[in-house]
Amino acid sequence: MIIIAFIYACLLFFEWRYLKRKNRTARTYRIVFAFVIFTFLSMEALYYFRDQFTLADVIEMVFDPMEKFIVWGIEKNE
Amino acid sequence: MNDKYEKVTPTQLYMLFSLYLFTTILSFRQGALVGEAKFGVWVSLLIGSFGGLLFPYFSYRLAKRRPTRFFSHYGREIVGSWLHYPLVSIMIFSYLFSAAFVLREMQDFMVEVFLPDTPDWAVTSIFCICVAYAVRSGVQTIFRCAQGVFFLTMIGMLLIPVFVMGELNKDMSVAFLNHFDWKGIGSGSYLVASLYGQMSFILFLFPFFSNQQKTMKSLIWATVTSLFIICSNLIPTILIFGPELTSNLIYPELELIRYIRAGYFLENLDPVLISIWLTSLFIKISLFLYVAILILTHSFSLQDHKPLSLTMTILMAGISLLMVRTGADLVRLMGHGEVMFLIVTEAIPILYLVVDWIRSRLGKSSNEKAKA
Repeated sequence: MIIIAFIYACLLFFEWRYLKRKNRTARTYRIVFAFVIFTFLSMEALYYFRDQFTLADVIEMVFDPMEKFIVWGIEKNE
Repeated sequence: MNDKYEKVTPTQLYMLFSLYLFTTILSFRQGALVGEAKFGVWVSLLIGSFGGLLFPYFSYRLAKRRPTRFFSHYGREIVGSWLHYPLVSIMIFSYLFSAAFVLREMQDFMVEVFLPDTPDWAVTSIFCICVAYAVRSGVQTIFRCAQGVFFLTMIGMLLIPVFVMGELNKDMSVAFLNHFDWKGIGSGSYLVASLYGQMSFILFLFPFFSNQQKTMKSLIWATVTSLFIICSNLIPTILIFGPELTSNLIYPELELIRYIRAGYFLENLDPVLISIWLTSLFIKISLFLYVAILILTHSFSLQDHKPLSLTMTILMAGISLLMVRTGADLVRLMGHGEVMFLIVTEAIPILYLVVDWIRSRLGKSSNEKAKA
């Protein structure tokens, strides 16, 4: 978790330097920083809950019943 | 407006998609595909590829209506902001997830076969540095990479069947014409269609193309080329190992390459061929990631994609490491929902096309009424 935070801190600094060099608007700064923070939080959440929850579980939960229903029909459900 | 972008020629498009299409099937889906369709695998490849080509065709039809504008800019005019942004988020997630999925498959392959005891994160991060560099440099770099490795990859892939020619069990080849399990062929086609249908992201890259009328032609030729490459490797694999063993091998293509005994100095040819093979995977991952970043950039109305590229690359690496617990879960996911997930996201442009078509028809008729 600390390593993820460290990587994101480096990233934030790097992006800040890039935006400053290119003289971007305040709106761009806001969007980029908000996005970095959002992805940071999602990554930490994914890492912290890795034993209880993975993205594969979500996809399986949503699309597997749909796949069975549409593609395989009743046959595979039996 | 159009001139400020770097252009992609139809030849570059053809070369990239040829590489893009055969890599995943040959590298990771061969076992699953042969397991489903057995000897009828070539039929399921044909049906699946041309069926899957319908998705990019509809995308192309939609993109052709506004050839100089990016989809993420005009999409909300078609279905309205409330529906557009959730749909676009699903598409961004889908491309990011696809990139992460391929990266995970590649990472498992490298760790299992060539780099045992190397931590997963090390392989992923080194690969991600390359991907981040390519993606940050832009679409032209990715297409030029594909152009650079195209001939080398083609020669490499076509050499493999030539080297193993002596080992083939030619008596088995008659089974390709008289063993058809239509149910298996159907599920094989479904798997192939989801992979070929992913080309529907041409919608987002359309303003980059220089000769837009030839887009579909390039894609059809890329499909034909990739089918040729896949069959030229898949058929010898089945003729050497038989369908049962092929479907139970994790990496049949690797076993086929290891079967080559071309001479003493070519004894260990596999790392060379696999490095060629990995380059195509690198192009595929970069392209998926680039498309995800491009959609995000346009949705936020930013000037260029660079400030978001590193963040998205790290997110992709994170998803790829944390998306499943073990390699077995990855295989399970492929048979439980992933294909449907891909097909649903590929079909989103069709929804836009239908709505746009209805709106333009209604607009026309109301205009006519107003004139009358």
